[in-house]
Amino acid sequence: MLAAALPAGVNSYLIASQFGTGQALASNQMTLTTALAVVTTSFWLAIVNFLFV
Amino acid sequence: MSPLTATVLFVFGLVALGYLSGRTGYLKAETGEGVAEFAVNVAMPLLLFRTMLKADFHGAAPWAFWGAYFSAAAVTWVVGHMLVTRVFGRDARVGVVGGVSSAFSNLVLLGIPFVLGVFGTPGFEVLSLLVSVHLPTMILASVVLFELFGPKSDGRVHFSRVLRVFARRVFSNPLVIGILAGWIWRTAGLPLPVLADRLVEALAGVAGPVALFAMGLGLCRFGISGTIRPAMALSVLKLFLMPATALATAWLFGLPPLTA
Repeated sequence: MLAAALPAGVNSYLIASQFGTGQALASNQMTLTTALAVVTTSFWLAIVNFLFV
Repeated sequence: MSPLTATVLFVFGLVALGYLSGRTGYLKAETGEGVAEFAVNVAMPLLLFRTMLKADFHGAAPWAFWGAYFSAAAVTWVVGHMLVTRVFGRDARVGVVGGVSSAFSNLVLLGIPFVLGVFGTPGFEVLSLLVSVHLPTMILASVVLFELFGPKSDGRVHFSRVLRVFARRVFSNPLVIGILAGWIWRTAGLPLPVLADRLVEALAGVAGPVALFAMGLGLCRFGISGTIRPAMALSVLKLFLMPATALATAWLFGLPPLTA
């Protein structure tokens, strides 16, 4: 579950470069998810703890 | 501060340090590639090798676990693709980028150090089960997609070519080699010589921090540009829809707490 909660990796950007389109989208999304993940992973960790511990 | 919050801050703190050292110009942007290369090609493969060698997989039912994770990934992928093509009106190729970026987690550079920090070795052993399938899946997906939508594509999939490219890329991937080598060594039941063990231990030990730092440094190269609304929407999918679906599928498949 937590693995699913992690931000996006560089793969989408690599694919975007191969296609020659959508690089900005991939790059923006990667930066955003990584920054936002500081908050969201804590949130999901709390949920997991609440449900399973 | 709870220990979990502390770990999250520690993990992202390392990413932030990498980012800052690039942003301020203290380290050159090209350095990021070098550091990331070291992390992905040297330290991480050795960490995976060591894990496969010593791991006790707690009888974690891998099929249910893989099923739970990948069904969540599939759902999010489809939603991501639809969102980009239908809502934002981009073409199918950008749709693919949207699907991939909402469904594929940064398991190696971020996931491994993160899970190690939060759950320790037992959590990492479970994660390495996921990485060993996630990685080939990712490679296969990108080969097939390139075949379908790439610049030289005629819109059809040539199976023999896909298989050839896939096999070449999987077996030349250092992470896959690390996992396989560890698994073979384990099956053979050979002890690791003391010196080799020390070398592996030393390099595997720095894998986490170096990977996180490299990630931050790498982010400098990307940054934010142009319209951010589609990216924002995809980020919500990645960070909320996918984990929520994974939680639901994990519960459906009745997974034990650690794997869930």
